[in-house]
Amino acid sequence: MNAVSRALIASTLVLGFHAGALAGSAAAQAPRAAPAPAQSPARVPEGQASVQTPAPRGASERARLSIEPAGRPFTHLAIENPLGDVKVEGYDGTAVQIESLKFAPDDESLDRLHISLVPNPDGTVSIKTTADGGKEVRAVARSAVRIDLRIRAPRAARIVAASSSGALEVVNMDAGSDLDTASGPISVRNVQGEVLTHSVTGATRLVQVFGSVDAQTLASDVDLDTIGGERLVASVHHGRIEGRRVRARDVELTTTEGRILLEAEAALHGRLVVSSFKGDVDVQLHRHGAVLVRARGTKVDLGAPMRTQPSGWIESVYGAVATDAALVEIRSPQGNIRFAIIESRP
Amino acid sequence: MTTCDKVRPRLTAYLDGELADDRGSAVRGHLRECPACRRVASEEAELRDGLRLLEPVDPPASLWAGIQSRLAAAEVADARRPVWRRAAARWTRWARAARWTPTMRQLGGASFAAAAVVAVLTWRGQRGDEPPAAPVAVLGPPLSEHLAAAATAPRPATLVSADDVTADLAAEPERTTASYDRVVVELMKLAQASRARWNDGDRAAFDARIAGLRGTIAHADQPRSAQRAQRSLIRFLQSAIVRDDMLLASGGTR
Repeated sequence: MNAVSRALIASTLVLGFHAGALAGSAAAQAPRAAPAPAQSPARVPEGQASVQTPAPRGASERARLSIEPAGRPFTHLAIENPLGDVKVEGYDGTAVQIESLKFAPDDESLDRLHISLVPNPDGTVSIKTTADGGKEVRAVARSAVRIDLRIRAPRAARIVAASSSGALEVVNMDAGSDLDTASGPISVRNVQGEVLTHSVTGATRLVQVFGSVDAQTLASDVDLDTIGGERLVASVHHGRIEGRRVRARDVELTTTEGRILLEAEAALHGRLVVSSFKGDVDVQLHRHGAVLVRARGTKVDLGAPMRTQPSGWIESVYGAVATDAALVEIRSPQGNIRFAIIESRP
Repeated sequence: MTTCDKVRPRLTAYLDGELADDRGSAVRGHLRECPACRRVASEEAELRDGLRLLEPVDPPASLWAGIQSRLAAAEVADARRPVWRRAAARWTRWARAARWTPTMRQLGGASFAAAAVVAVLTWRGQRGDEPPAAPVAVLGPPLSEHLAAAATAPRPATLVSADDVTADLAAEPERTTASYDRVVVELMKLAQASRARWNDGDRAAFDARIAGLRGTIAHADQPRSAQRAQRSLIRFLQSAIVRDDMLLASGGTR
């Protein structure tokens, strides 16, 4: 038994986690609150995506656990919580610190909620929440139970997290994240590395992300603020995309129905492709060199003299055309296009 | 009196565990006494055991989750229906299958019979000492081995309410997959309009890519893998439709 196992089992016995792979079903009760109105403690900072589901009333249980790595540092956290929120915050330590908050209508239902925790020797930690079913259990509605997870993790760990209607929030990490939710809001702030987000109806907000970004939603909005790095891809079916201070070299924003607002900075050799099928597109660009802009839309305003090419593109050129010119392509077959240059240098 | 003619058509349903308690009990009782029917049941069970040796084909996990959730919902709904409604439903199904419309005389007879059934059910309900019927297990040892034990095995209580959190969690992948499917259908309709403007080469490239992505979705072994492929399909369709440019949609430049 290695150090991780020993530490984990000791913590398990004290704090009521289920360490599935290491400690079987061993679990002790963590301190419980008497049945009383419970407040959801996992609050997303103001102005960001907020927790959608309020904590149910009834019994609650809070537990804390800290796992120290056995030799190799933790490099990967896989979190699956279909029962509530997940908030992961990076810090300079080496341990993974987990705080769980369970809510249920009564103690019996609370006992059905479990958190399994499996640290692997390869540096990965898997955390998963479940609700027991089985024989002769009294039915409890999903909306009546909840598990929220607050995790502090080493900055260098990559976060892979999934929720259902709970919020996913990742803050201050250096190795990117892969976040997947059905209807919960996604919030990523001050994260480096590859960031992937997917949601069906959860709003997505990415702030201060430096790395490759890929965000996709079906029916919600995507907000981007201060995005840098090589590549930014975002697509929305029904919903808008709004980007400010976008400095990625290669940008692709696409909506089927929904407007796109982008305030970006054109890099040398940069490429911005902004497309909507039915939504209006409004692009404001800071430029540091030549920019070739071409557009196709119902109504096109490029803010400068335009010429129509035989291919159908309407084009404008800003600055002296050179080999390092940035390329901007804007499409909106059924919407209006507006483009403007913000001259940031004389 | 249960006869071979009545039991034989019900053997398949009995082996599937689909017969209601009283009918299952009657079939089981007849099998105890009738070697011919027992042989037929054994042959069918052996056939099923043989089929079970075939290479398994795993359906997508999302499909299984959906089936589980629907089964749970159906079981709960069935459990909540009163006995007389279950009997009426069985009768309705039988009448539809037989395309039978009762005459007034038959209705009168049926009313009398129904009164008798109510009396019997009430009496049986008061007795309450008869063990419940046992279903034939679907998994585990060969089915033929279950025939002998079927009469005495207790029915496991594995009902999970459709209102329960576990049923809802099990149904979640299917809901998400359905959401993606709806968007794919919407985008495919738009793609049909765009398709008319493409040349033959672009159409062929589009069709090939769609077929490839659909194949990936169909063969995904996990809901998340299937959803990942669905997202790729959605993004490809969006690019093809919004940008109306197959080369760009495929990742190239023009």
